Amino acid sequence: MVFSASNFLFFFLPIALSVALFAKPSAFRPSLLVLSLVFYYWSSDTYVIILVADVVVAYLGALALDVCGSTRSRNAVATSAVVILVGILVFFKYLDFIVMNVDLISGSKLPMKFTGIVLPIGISFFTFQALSYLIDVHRRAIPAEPNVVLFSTYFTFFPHLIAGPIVRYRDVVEDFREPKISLASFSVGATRFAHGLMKKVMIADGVAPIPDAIFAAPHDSISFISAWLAAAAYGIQLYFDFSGYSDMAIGLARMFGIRFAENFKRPYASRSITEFWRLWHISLSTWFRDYLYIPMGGSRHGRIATYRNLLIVFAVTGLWHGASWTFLCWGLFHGLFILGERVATGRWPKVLEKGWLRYVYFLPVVTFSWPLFRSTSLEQAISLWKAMGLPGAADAFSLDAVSPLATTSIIALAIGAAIYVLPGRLSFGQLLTSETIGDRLYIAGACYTVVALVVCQVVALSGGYTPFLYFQF
Amino acid sequence: MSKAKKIGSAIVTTAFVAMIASPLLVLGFRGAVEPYGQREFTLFPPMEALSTGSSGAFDQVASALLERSQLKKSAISVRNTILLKIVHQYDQNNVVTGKDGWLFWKGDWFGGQCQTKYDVEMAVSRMEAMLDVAAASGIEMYFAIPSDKSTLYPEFLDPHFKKFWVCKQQSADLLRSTIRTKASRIIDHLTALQDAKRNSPGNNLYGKVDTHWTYFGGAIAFRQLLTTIFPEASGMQPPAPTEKMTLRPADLETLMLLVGNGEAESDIDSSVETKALSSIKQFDQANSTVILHDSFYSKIRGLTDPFRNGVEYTLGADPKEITNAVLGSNRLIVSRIERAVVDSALTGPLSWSSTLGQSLVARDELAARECEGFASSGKSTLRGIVVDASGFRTTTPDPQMVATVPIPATGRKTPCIRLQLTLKIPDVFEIFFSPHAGEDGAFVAGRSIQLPLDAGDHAIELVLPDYLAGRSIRIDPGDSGQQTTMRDVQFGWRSAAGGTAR
Repeated sequence: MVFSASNFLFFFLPIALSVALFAKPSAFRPSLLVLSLVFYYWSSDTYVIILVADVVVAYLGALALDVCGSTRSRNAVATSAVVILVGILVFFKYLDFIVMNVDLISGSKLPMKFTGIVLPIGISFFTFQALSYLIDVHRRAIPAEPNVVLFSTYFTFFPHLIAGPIVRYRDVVEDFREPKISLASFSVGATRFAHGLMKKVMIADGVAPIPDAIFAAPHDSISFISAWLAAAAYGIQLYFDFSGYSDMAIGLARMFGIRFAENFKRPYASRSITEFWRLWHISLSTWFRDYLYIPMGGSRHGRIATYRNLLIVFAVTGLWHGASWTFLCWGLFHGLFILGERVATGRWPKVLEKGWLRYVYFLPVVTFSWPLFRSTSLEQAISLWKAMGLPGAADAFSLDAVSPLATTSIIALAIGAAIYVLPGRLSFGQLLTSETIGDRLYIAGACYTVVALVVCQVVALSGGYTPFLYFQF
Repeated sequence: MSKAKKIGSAIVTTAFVAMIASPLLVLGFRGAVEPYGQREFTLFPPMEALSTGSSGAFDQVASALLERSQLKKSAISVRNTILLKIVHQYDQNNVVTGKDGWLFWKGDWFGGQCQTKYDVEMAVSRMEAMLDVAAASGIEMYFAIPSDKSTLYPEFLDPHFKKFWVCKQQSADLLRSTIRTKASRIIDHLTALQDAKRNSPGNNLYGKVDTHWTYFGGAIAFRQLLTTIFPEASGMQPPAPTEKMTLRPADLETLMLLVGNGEAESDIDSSVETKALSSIKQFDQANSTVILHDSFYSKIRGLTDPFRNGVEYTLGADPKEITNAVLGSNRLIVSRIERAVVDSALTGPLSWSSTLGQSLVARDELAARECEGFASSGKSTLRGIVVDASGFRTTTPDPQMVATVPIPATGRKTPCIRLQLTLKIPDVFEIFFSPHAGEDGAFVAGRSIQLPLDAGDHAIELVLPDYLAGRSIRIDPGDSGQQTTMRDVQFGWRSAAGGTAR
């Protein structure tokens, strides 16, 4: 069940808000927990058991860590819990990929086949939440949460459950203890939710037919211009899809009095890949920074170790998105550019601060990386790259693969492209829900929200739903 | 918080709550609307599914409730009307926009796939075989194919949706070339409609927002059918559009819940034609005509009055009624829209297992009661069949027996076949016909009569098409192999002058 689906918007959400917000304060968390479990069960059927298993492992593992006195026993408990959580993730997400590649490399035929395994929705997100919680407790950064209902409510809270953001316990626990529910917070949440829904249904879904058509076209028929259009349009679609979802998650949480940190901050306004990763899927990049890069030594052990750590982190970041060579290569592609930027800034410290770098370096590079993310095979990505590199080919400027563009796609692409290339770091959604916004802007934002809600109601109520791209992760 | 912000917050909160709660609230206060858009509502799940907590049941409940809300219906109506009238592009479920406000039914285009030559040839051959079988049993049968709207009006197809119709022309050409070479007796309305389109540019032959032909388009097609059946009618004054326009419901408009009142169509003046037709003698002779049709001929129901003793059924009507009507008729007109012809002949309402096919077989068996002079077949070629004391026993899958139909010693007689067989399991018994004289090849898929048979003993007598005398037939006793025994295969004769078996 996705946030833009009519069954969620007009059936589950009214019930969830009524039940949770009108419940007695003591029943707030239990009701939210039940609603979240129903939400996940509705979305994933019996895989709710996996979610509950992760809750149990994280909750009991953390309590055990608190009880254990010696470092050795704490390490053993933490390692066991992490192995179980990662083991579940690997089983569902990576085992088939591993077996397939072992077969390929060794030339053998392992007797195991795992092709029938269905990926539980959101497993990468909630597994990472469980890991961060356990590691934080292990590091004594936070105490273990003794209240099972509070912990379970945080862990299964439906706004972040199936497509993030990855919400760390320490960042939100106080809100779960004392939810800040008010008319103002509800209104801010509703505004943010409506804005996210607009991004999804009007722009991401509007742009989608462009990359869909070009990526589905025969590889050898894609022209230079079509290939770049496909990559750029996909970048726009992905951004509006995922940041739209994050906006909706942030907005929903806010309606229940819970504050989530931002997950996107105009990433296409970056001047470098390094900067991009500070602004794109922030909850994931900071997770890897805090729980993988820094523990591996970060940049503390010399250049070579730093480069190695960076490449490992980005390889894992790529694989986090999916068990395939395309995602791995996409991660490494970004890792290599970040590594190159490190080398460059070491020699020319000011080099990445130039604004024009965005247009001559960052945007072309990040656009060039999207075919890896979108392609179903390396061959497909390479064939698109070939087309992107052949401006002099015959029919290089032919748009046959996608023309004529639908009007809705042109409008969506124009808005998306403006966000893609316009200067400045202003985020409309974040501005609308800023605490310091002036009265006039606030009223303008309210008017926009009302219009957006009407538009979204018509679109959501009248149409079929399109899944969010980040569900597959 | 300032007063302005408080007011803004209240407005946003109210709007949000109204947005999410209104569909169910409207349902609660106004009750459920009637089914709309020519489709059924999602059913509520059974109580057991809800009580066992099936996750699919939740979705079903939500969908079932929301579909019944007036607000959903209105949202669909608003969205579709905006997309059609302002954006001019619409692609939803089964409908896409064309140019200048035209709408097209996506079913015309087989999901963007090209139809295969094998399927088309098999379908057309099957229809040709049905015409032969009908003639053998004394029925004058006609297949009429109304054209797809996108075949007649390709200039209104929107290039934005080329992915859907990219194969349309190829499939339409393939069907027509196959009809020309393999079944020229099938009445294809396209040429007549194209002529009328050229000659009456001001009159739409198909509705802009309807899948079907207009009353004028239907009249043109029906006149083609009449003149095929009654050549005398070709000299008469054809029906003509009048100045009078009538609003008629348009199915695509209804389907999309567009804001509109239907489509204005010219009325037809067919009084002169009808009066002239009534004087043709043959109408009286053909005292029992059965018309089996889909929604195209439904639209011109009034025009079929010349068949005064005719009965009309849709292809999905009660099988018993259709069979009884076919058994008692001496003319059968079957109409099927172009897009559905191939699938219908292969597995649908024009196949042998359909009501039409079963009725034709029943009619043929009835006619075969007049057959006489049966004698065992002579020499035959067997494959996967052995001859033993029990008769012809199948030994492998796809068994075949090729036999030559004898030529009558005297007079003009129609060949008949009598088969006695035993099946251990239900199977499809099939007799392939040689091609007509002048046609290439031997036995082709589809040029056959099929009888789905249950397990057990069967005695089958059929009248075979006239032209088969002296030519070969191939008997395929079933696909299963080792399950069928033909105890006897005999040929006999029915007097060509024999009365119509009714």
